[in-house]
Amino acid sequence: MRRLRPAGVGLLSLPATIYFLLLFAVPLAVLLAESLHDRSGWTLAHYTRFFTTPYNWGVVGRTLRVAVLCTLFCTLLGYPAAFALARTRSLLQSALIAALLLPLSVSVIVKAFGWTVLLRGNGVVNQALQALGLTDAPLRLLFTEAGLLIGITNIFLPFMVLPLFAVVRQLDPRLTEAAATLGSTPLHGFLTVTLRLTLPGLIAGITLVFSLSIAAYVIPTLLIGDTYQTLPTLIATSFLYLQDPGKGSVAGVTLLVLSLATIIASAALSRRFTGRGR
Amino acid sequence: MRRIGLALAWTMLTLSVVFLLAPLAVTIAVSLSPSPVFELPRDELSLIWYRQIGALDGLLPSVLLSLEVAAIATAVSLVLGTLAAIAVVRGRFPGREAITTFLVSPLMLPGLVLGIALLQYFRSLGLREALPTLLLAHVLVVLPYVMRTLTGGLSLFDFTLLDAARTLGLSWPRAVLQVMVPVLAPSFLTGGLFGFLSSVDNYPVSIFLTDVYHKTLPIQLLQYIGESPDPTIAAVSTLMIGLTVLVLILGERLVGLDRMAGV
Amino acid sequence: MPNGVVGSPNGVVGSPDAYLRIDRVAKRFGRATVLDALSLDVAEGEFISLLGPSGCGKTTLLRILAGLLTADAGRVTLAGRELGRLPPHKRNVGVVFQNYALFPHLTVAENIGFGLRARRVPKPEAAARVARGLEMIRLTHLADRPVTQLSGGQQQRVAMARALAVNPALILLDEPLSALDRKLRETMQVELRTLLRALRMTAIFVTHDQEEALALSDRIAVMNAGRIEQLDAPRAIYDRPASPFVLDFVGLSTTLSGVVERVDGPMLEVVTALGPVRVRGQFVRGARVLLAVRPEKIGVGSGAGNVPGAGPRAGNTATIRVADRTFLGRSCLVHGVAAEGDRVVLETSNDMGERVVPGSDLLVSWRPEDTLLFPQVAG
Repeated sequence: MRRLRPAGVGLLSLPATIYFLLLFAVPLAVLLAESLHDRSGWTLAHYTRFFTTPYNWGVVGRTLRVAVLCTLFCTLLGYPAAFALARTRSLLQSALIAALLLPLSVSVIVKAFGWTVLLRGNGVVNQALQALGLTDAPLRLLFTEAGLLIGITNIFLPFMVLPLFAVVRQLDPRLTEAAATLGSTPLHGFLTVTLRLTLPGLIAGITLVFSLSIAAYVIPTLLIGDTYQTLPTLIATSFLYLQDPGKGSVAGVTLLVLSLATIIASAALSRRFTGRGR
Repeated sequence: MRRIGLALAWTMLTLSVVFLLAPLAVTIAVSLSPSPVFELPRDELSLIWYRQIGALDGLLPSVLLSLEVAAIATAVSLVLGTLAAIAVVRGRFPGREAITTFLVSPLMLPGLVLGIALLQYFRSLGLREALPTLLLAHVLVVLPYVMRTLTGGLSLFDFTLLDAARTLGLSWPRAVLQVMVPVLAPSFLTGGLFGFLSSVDNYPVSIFLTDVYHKTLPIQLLQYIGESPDPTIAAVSTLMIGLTVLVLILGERLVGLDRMAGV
Repeated sequence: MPNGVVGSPNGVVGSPDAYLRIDRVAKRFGRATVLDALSLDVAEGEFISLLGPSGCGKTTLLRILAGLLTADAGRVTLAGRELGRLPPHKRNVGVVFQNYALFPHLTVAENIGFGLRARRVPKPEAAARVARGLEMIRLTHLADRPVTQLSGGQQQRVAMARALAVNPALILLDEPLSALDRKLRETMQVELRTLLRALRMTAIFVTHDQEEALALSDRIAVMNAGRIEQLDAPRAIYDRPASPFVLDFVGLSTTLSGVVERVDGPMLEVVTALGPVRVRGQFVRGARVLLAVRPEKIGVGSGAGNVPGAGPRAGNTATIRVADRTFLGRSCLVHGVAAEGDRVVLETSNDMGERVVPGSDLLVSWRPEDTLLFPQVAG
């Protein structure tokens, strides 16, 4: 303890902080500068060019649309699932956590590849749909928005379930019982107690899934292609194929701003909802 | 109503698990089928696509490059991250929270943006070599994981244990080595493991820093899928799934599932 | 069932006008019988304690009354209404939970008002009732504090006020004082009793703490293995325990096993490790019995056993070897060396306790009337 005393110990953070300043903060500043700069000097030209092109607005719109839908699907699946997971007994619970951790740890490219196989015209999903009599002819899924949403929800679902599970299993089941003995209907008890107390986990999950899905690149590339551009695919094509760093930088800054806005909004929300509690 | 809620919860959990495992299961199944057109095996299993792996152009170099980058980046991150975590947990200086947020923020920001930022930055510095730029960049990918798990672990660590060890006759360095290191080992391991995996798996940062001769595994894989999709990719993917399973089993033995899930 | 048990309530139908009637309620978890056809009648305004060791079924019974568990068999009626499978929110039964189960995201006032909001009580009236509740527990000054900032005793009072605010027909208390330290617990006992009596509230109080049960209750139901072993007023439970279980669970006593040697009208003479003991009772010669005496009924010297008006042979006297003494504050417990399975303990004044030296012999005596008699349970 003597040598881990407050005064000097703070200096230990210097190497990492300097590293991050030089290789994280400065590069982001360079990106920002690049978006405001061309051969003739400082300018807003890249921004005017980007935001006066209707196509680019469509790209931003699609990015947000996919992220919102993905977050919605992850919430609908993940919120109830987290409750079931928290209420299972230890052995089954471990198996189920493993079933969440494995897909989380496997490479995105492997999972995306799996979905290209599953969603093909003669793929497993279509065979199952036809076998169940839900469709007659094979549905087109690959290279459609539906296919993209299936894939992206699949990739980010564990990021919803795990933070929710962490909160739900801390939840004292007697609180809902107490609400019931005080005259709450199950619905009233759920809304005023359960939902309210799991809100921090829900906010964490939504923030994670939303900010990951606006930045997703591999999944859209493989499952839908260039006909349906989102901000990340636009950024990549600007730099890798079009050699248009001006456009790419503006798109990059836009994506960064969206990301930061999500994080700031989420921090404000969770401060508001955890300000009181324990 | 309670029963309906419970049934709903179970349905969603079952659906989620099946849904999450589906792409992995189908990849494994396709890799074992003799058919060249991504069919599930019907009558017989075949290892033909596994034999084809050797014929894939450039796979081995990309695997080696990815492992090299991930290993070095993880080692550097463990050192820098541990020091920083000790500083913010034990230190009493203003801005500790800000430093913590700063050092984990790459986790929350789009990797692609970091990729293009680094691309332009390195270009402006005249640094165009793939290997050093990849190494420099991947520390940014790995360190947040180390930082997050270690600040968590350290803030739970009872520093009076060190005093206790010293009253029992250990010198200060030995107390750190014999008490603090074993207690914090799970955090090192989880942080290192997930950081390593995310480096091996990183696409959005690497794509801007690689060149024709230096392709990391994800970039090489995506290229195969784009150029010549055949079940050999499924075989490679299956091997990667198998490797992930091994890593998770190892982690479970050493750390436990709960801590890996971060819950 | 041992023949010493008086008025076993199991399966017995009580008076027809009981306010709360628990009629042959049974509950099994898997193969374990937690409640064994248990019956209990409670009058309006009565304070009943369910006292027993953990696992005796007392909390299960409480949860069945609250509607948080469904009984396998039996009926529960409250104020003439059969509760049946009514869900908890339609029962109007208040519960104070063991660790209070206060809502951590709400303030003190919001916690107390929770049930009123759930019942859609109009706002002005709800506010007035919350204010009254706060006054009742003397926490008006903390109304807008988050409950997580309160001390244990204050949280306990908020839990009480929350359960009472909705005017329940019955209040159930699940070891509500067990999380408090001893001194605070004693203060809260008095407060709780006064409050419930003032409101004429019918209360069922679950506890494993015999002192608490003795201090608070109108009647105590001592529970063991899913049954009520004895249902009686506190004094009767202590003075006339119905079974060795009740004797052992409530209070300390000297216990001696012995064999009936002589039957002399209503009096028996029992041979024990301490010599012959005279006791009133009905057993045949040769029967194996268990004798018990409360510590305060045994005195030092031969005089304590004398019965006014009876001959000098009427009292029981014995010489014990002192093993240890325990200073209690107001008095002192003296423990004697006893044969296996026996226990000798008596309560004396502090002055007397000072003079008794461990290892020495001590002449003690007690009255035959104060000797409790039970059949020896085989094994």
